[in-house]
Amino acid sequence: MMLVNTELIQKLSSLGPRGAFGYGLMEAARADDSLMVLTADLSSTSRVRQFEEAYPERFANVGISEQNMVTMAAGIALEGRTVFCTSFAAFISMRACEQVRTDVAYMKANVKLVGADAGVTIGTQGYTHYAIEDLAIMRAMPDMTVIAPADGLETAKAVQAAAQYKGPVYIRLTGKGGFPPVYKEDYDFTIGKGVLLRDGADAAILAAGAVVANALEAAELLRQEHGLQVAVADLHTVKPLDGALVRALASRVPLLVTAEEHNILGGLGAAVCEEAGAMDAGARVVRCGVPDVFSKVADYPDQLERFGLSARGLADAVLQGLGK
Amino acid sequence: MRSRSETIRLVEEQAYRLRRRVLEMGLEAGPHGAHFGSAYSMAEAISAVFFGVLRSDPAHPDDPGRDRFILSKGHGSVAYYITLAEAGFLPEGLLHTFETKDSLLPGHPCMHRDMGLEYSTGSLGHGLSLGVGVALHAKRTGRDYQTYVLVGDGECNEGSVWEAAMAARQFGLDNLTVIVDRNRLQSDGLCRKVMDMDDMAAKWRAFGWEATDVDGHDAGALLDSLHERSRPAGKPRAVIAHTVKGKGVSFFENNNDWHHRSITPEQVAAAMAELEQAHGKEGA
Repeated sequence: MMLVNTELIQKLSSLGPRGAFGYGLMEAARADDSLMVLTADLSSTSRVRQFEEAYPERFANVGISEQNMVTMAAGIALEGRTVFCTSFAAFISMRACEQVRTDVAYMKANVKLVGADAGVTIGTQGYTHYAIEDLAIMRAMPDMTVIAPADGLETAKAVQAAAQYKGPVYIRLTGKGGFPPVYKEDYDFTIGKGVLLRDGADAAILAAGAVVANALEAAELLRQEHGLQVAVADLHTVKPLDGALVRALASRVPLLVTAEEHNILGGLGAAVCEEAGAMDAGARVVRCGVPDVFSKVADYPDQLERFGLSARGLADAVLQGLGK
Repeated sequence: MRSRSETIRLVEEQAYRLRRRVLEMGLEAGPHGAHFGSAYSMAEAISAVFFGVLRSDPAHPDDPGRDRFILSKGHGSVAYYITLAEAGFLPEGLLHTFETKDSLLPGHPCMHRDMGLEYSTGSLGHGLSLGVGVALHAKRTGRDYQTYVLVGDGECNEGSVWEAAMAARQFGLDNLTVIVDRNRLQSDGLCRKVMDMDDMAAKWRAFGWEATDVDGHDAGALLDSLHERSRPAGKPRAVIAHTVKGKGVSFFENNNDWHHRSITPEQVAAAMAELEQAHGKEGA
């Protein structure tokens, strides 16, 4: 059991999403002897080197072949094991898409797919390595659980929860080393259950991934500058979505703003619209994210700015949505 | 323990029964039809695996020590289902539900392990990677089961087959065998014209595998190649089974119209007559 204290929270924050994943993986590996890790030539990059050194018999590097990796993982998992696969989010969700669907989801293989550098995290490296479609792709697969952790602690917790859960899971990692801790103390992470980080009656920001921190900052800006009380929810599990939380918020605030490092089509914003749209009456939904374009490249913070995902951008979306 | 000649006779008899039953099931499937050509080209190969080499027990389909068979060319399902029934894994009655509403036996196999249906397959290029995973698990956990994967030659157009081939060699999987049903036809016609795979065995050898060419309708040759235990340690094995699509019925043979289609009672009668005649000659 991971002992959560300020020191660990700081450590996981400074390690960044990949490092926090690596940390959570070691915790999960100690709890589950069957746990195996496959990577596609990204042992260092995806921070599984420590696992490789500790458990060489439970590790395999398959080279640059994501399709083979995912199907191999399914084959191993169907022998009764827990198998983690790591690659960049773009390649695990798109290069190996049909393998994920047919060999992992369709056969309900106990495979955990971890996509590093999802969203626009990779900045000026360019769109070949962005993943702004992965939530939509993974969410469309029956029996697939989809998680987008907000910070280092949540990443480590999500990895352990995924390891304990029996069935296919996709974890997308966003953010950079030193990303701010959203969670300053221990909390209960449950797959499928969102966390209301802050309550408010004027509007709500529903976010997933590293932009949750920006959503919190936006709510604080709106309080300081406009006296608005804006709720913020961390919907770390994009599928199954915490429909109860979305409906509760939609019934008591007039505006929901969604925030995700993803195309506004098919991801968290779409999932929230689907939930809110099924209600008799409820809040309007404004989706912040990549507006269905391949934009020019930029450094990560600039790219977040461009897509209205910075704290200021999200605050502006709330103001605009409220007609202020 | 059966003698070699007894096993050969058993495999030949099973292949004959398989061909007959494919006709019956194809007729029963009505307009849904069946993959006749492919089922016929692999008849000896799948029979050799199930009745010649596979160590498995229908009473314990989940035995972790069982040998694994993966039908990567899942469109050969009709041959697979019949073979599983003949081997005692799959209830006979279920065969009548082939490709019907809510059936457990769709056109492409859907995993149902208590009936020996080990994996959901049919998306080409996946099965060998499953096999690599399963064989690697055996290596890493000290189990001595063998893994057999049956792929089509057209299927080998898929890049993922060769990703898996590289991995099998890299991980030294001498507990893995791929059988290539080299019937030289794929959906759009001759492999040679669609995507020429040229010397198939040379390709596998180039990927570090031990590769053998055999007559895929010669039960004895197949059994010898599958039983061969002298391959060098660390090398996975490819058996290139040279076959004829639709083998055994003159109007099926090398005729891609019979890749997948429905069949009439008259055609079944004509095909049965040919099979019986050839079988009678062999038996004599």
